[in-house]
Amino acid sequence: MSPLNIFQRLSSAPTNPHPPAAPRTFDVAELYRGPVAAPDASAVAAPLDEKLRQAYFWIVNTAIISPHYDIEYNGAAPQSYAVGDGSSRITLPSAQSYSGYVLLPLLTFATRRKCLFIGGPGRGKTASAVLMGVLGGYTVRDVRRAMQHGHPQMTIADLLGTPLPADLVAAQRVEDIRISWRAWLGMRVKIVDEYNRIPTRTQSALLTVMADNYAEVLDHIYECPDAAWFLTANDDRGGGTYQVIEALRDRIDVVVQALAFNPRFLSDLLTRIEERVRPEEVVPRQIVFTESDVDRMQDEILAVELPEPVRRRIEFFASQFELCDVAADQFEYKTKDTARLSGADWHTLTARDTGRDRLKDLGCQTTNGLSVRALQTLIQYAKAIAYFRGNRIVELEDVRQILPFVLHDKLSPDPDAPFFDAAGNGAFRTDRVGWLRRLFDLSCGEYDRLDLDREDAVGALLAELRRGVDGVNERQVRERLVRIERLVQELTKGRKLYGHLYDDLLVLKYLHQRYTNYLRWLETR
Amino acid sequence: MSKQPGGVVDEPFARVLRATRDELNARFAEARQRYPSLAGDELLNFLTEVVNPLVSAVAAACPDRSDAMALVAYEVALELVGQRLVGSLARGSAIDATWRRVLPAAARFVAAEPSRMLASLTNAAHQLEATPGARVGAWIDDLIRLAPECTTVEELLRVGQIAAWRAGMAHFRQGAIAAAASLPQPLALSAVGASHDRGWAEIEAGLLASEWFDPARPEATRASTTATSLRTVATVGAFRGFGGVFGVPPRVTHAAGNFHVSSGDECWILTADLFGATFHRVAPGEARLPRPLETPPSGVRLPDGPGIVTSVASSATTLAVTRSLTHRVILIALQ
Repeated sequence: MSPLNIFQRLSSAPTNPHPPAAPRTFDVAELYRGPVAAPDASAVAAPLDEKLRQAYFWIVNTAIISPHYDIEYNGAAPQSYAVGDGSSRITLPSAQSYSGYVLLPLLTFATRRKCLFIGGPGRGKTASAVLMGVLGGYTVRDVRRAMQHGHPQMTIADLLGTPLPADLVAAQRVEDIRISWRAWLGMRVKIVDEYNRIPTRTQSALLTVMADNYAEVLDHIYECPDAAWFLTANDDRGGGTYQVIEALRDRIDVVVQALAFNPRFLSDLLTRIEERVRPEEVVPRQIVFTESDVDRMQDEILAVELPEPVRRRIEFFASQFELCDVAADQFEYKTKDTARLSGADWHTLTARDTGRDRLKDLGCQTTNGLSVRALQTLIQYAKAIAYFRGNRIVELEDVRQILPFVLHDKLSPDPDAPFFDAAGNGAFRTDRVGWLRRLFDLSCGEYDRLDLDREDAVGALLAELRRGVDGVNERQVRERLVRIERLVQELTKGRKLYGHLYDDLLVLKYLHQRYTNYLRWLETR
Repeated sequence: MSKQPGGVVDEPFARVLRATRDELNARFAEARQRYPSLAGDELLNFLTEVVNPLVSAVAAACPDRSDAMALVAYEVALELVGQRLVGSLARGSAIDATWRRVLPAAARFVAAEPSRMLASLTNAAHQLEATPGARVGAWIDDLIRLAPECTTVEELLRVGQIAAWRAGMAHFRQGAIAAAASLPQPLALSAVGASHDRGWAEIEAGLLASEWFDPARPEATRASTTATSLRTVATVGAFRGFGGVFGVPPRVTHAAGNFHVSSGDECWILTADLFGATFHRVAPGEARLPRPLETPPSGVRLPDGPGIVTSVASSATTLAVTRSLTHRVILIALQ
């Protein structure tokens, strides 16, 4: 095969084989299949998850040299080897595994969410973002022209558009001034390069576009279409020209790090240089998605089922982090957010927190809890990766693999927590992905230890209420209230207050209140 | 008329080339990435000699559709020249003949759905040419004859399927009969070569009853077959050295509704009817076949031939026989 041909080579479907199809038959329709593709027919026939996988494999095999399979799946027990003194291990996954640096942007493209590339200069962050634009059906030229390059002098007019000069002179009213909107606002793949070099005021205008999908200049509104966003930053820890405002950071759904180039693949680079090939310019048309493709893909991703056992483990994990026992006297306000809003010194607070085993308590490892937005994003991406793998039900491993990328900037570690001082955990101070994955593993371990899949008294009471109270009489309500009170007594008796217990007690209080109100209504009826 | 480096190009095509020159050059550069051997002069020749008349034919039939069709034709031309399916380096001429003869005759359908028409008929020509025994010329003639009777692209493509079956692609028999049944009766009768004074129901019943039913022959002239006077309807297959598929004299069995022909360690499914026969390789282990029979059914006297009978197999309508001194399979009609 000619060296150039490899740039158009797609992985053969099925890229993730499932049970085989029907036996061979002679179908007269085969007469019209052959070397020339009938574009319309093939586009309709191709399942979009297969097309997404073909896009992924084309990118990893041809476009982005990223031999880093950090999203690991195993069908059987994987082979694992200790390296050196035993502190490093390399694992050889036994099932199809993926490179997060390629997969996460692709899932972002499929779900039209927001992805931040971080990493040093020259590692392909911008090139990866441009590829996503080309997958969205835009020409390389359009994508490059529409890309916003952050710089310290960037104004709101640079970002959004300018009023027409003639109208500025002649107009009698603001509404008579026409705005020349920047073309990128109308695109379905938006790229902001080096967003941490944008001045703070312009960042606020960008926030409006990212958060609310509209741009505003001189009281004129431009409604933007739903889009996938790709932002890049050389340094995500505030080392840009300007500090990124927190609200803007919070709008970013996933963070992926551009890993180092492996010099063993220098020959691939050599081929590109010698043949003058730029991968974004030779993207096969079969893996370009139309607007309706992405619409349909979004619908199909949302239809992926998140089964209750997996959902319960996400709930249990999320409940670990918000509690801050010493932050308030009122039970409901015992949260890290209360402490943050008060401006209290974090170390002073944690020094007062002496009642719990700070090594065992997962909540002690973070300085904040999980937002609703973060949880929604986690669910979306868990469904997306399950869909990408050709499944229609989310598996626990999907959540485990995707979680570190979603919570990368959402959960802040407390580097002074005892966990990071424990033997073998020092690397987690710098390895955010590894730490978050370990955190989830520890949470699942605790979930198993408590046997919550079978023994979930709070969950049973909640399910009972969700079935409705139609036909429930006074005697039954009183019985339920007694059961709730007994459970509260049991859970609080001699136990330390941990995050999941805190959330369970709040749920019990909520249930108690609902039944109390219902009982009062029954009595006065 | 405009002068182009590769020859004379008519105005409809020249207009498109002028208006989209940059875009077409970019498409050529992109195609060169996929097909490094894509030769500019080969492409130019195909465009001027083949695409240009087609664009003119489409412009004459539907003037407002010729620009869009020309762009599609250019894209397909890149594929064809890039894959060496047309031009001086091509191994066959079926695609070239289809573009020169069939597509202009079906210009109004090409104008209506250029992508589908160009891809479908090109692929069909390629398949026919690649199928041993299939008669591309007959398929092309049938399409040219029947295109004026069609009213939609769908009808024309079904006619194409029927024509392919009648051109020797026997494995498409069932699908082609079903395609004919979905056409208006006069077109269906024309497509299968039957006289218009006969009813489709009668023709369809005959086709479904026997692979050896000839829709073109009046009922009265058909020969009757009896157990004592068997009619050899076809001899198919040949020695590999003479362009066939068999390395050693084959054996035949009938299993799972198909004739299976084995030769050495290899096996094929044989489909055959009045219009031709095709062999389809069966992967080792795919088919579990019964042992071939070496004697005909009782009361059947086989025609004479070279060597002794090595295998006999029968379906409801056909008796297949192989002999020790020939690489051919002899097919005898039972109905």
